[in-house]
Amino acid sequence: MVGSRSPAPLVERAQRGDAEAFTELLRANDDRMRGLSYQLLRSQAAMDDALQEAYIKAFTKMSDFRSDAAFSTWLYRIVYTTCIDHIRRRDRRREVGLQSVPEQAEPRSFEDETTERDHVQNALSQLSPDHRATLLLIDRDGLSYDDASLVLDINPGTVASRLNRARAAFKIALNDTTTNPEGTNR
Amino acid sequence: MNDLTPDPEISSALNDLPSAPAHGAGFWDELSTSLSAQASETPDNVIPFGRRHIARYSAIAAAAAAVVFAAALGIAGLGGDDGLVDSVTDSTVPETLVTTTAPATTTSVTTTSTAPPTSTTGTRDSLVGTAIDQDWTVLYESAVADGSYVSRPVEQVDCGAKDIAFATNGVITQDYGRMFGAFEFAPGPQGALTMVSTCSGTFNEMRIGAELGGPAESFALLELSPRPIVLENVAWNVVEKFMVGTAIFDTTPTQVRINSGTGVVTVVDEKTTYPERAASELFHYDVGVPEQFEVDYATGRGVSLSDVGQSFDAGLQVSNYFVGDTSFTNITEPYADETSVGQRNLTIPLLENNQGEITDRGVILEILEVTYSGGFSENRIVRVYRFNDRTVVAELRYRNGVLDVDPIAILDDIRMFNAAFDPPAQCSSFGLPSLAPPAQLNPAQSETFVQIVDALVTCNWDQLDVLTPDDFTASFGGTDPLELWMDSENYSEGILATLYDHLTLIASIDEQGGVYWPQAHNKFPDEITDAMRDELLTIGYDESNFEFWDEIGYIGHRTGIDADGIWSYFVAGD
Repeated sequence: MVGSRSPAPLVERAQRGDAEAFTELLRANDDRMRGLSYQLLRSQAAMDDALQEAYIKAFTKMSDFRSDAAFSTWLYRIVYTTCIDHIRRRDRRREVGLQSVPEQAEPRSFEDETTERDHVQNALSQLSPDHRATLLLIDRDGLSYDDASLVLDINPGTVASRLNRARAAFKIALNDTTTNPEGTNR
Repeated sequence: MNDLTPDPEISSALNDLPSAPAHGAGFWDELSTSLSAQASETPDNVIPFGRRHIARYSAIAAAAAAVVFAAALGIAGLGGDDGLVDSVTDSTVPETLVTTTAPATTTSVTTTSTAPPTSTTGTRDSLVGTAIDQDWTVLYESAVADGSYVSRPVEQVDCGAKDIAFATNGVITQDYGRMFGAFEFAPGPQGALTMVSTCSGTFNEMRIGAELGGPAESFALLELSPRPIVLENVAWNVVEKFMVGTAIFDTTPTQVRINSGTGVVTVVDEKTTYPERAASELFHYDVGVPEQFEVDYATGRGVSLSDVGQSFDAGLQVSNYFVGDTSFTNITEPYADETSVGQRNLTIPLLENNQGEITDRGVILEILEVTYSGGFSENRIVRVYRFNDRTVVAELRYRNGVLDVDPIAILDDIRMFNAAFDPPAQCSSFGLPSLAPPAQLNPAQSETFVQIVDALVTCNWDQLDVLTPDDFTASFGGTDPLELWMDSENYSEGILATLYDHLTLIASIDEQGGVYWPQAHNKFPDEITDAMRDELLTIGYDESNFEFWDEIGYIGHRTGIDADGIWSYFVAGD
């Protein structure tokens, strides 16, 4: 949803360097971008850092945006790659692999008790960033395989196989955290 | 449209996730400012890198004015009789490694950074003999001396001054004074120990000490020229005794070499040592092939090089393991008659391969190297590259006197790429033509046949999962079919293409009304006709297979669907 103005003029204005128009586009898509980046980075501070960087990057690249994809898909791509960069930089002195080491999430200021949400969150955190992103983009945010393949920069066949594995891993993790709430997560 | 039906359990669970937190205060204002600056692009809106740092460091320098060092000398520390520890002496640094702390001649420097102030000891008493408390943090545990290099913040600001010392059993035995920044250590040959300090990620200074049987007595400043804005992943090439690292002079990370004597920084030529490379695409690494080696194989399961002529004089084997497979662990244990030479932890860069363009973004991997002598091979060096989702193990064996090149250089020329292991985008049967069900199949069998083929040509693992019942036979060991097939596909062994091929053969109906492929499946040796062999030849079997069958019958792959249309098995007879 892009608010009171139709998307096309906003995009065109943003491409001409209109920061206000671009900000309006961002605000319309910010919920979803926050959703993806927070689940990848698991920290509000990191989320804000990454989104600042991604949004500025997107503004500088607006002239590259082609309307053959939705603006939100294009923005997802920039946010996703920026978050992955942040993860790599954060993890660069550890053993590296994209099945992530359980992350140190921020203390939860808005949930004090162990709840079903925590179980789901813990389970999701056990997936690698790539698998996590695939699962969220398709099964939560409703992107098509084609759009997800644009965001993740992989072909739709890989999206399918990656989604399959992500779902399987998520289910296993969900069952593990449900039966063992203390879990293996920190 | 998505091909996979949404999973209600997963969708429901994801809907239960808490919403992402709102942005912090000022997020949109800060963004608006940045966007406006981008939009206007006036020089006044662009803050050169060094300016804000200059302001900060000027304030700190003013506060410590009594002990400002002569920056032109590039030397930090105070000598004399004021009781302070002199943090800069050259006398204990091996001359073969660091010869001077005199400033190097500045060549053309293209950076815009301004050097923050070099370290200072500040006006305080020596800390030698004092006990460390909870304010101290371990920076680096010495592999030579008994103890650790520790630090304690003096200023509670970003990149503030810190006391740096060495402590043994909780007591400080060496006081290196006060320095700025965050610190990384890199051990080198002959006891060399490099300390690199950074401020907010930007390079501050490099110092080198020497651990000659104990902790470094001091760390001498090494002025780098040209001076990078960022310097990371500093390590020593222990054979050639220079340092390597990833530096940024403008915006692009580049690999550099640093002369430990002069501080001259040289951008490394990106060319690999050996023009011929053998690659394991699946696990994302490649191996340089020295002239005296030839490639045995380079597949999804690994890369093997042998000395030309395969006389067992030398060989390099690089093998891949999925997470959880620990069958490689004994490779790091000594073999018969081997003696341990040593073990060390190294770091290597993880490269990115973007369609053939290799870049280094400063991501590193810590690896284990174990060296043995004696035994059958006479010399054996093993490196273990452990990722979270895979492990790669390289084993170099060579007899004395046979190698034309440094064995470490051979191992160093294994390039690892920072890519997650993922199943192949397309399985081996992807895109193959659809097959019509054979006429002799009943309707239920026909439907199952079509579904199997459809799953194969679209690589639909979900559909294969649905089509394989709990008692499906994929191996005589009872392995889960999907696990088996995914493993095979992951190693590029093409099991699904094999299944597809068998479904192209003539179908046979058994006494219970089930259908099976190939015709030879349930025949005694003397019942296997030429026609049955001929059809197998069309899908890749050869005469060598038939030799075994003469005695025990067909032991190749076979698959079948029962009379109710249930797919029952796809298994190899061996």
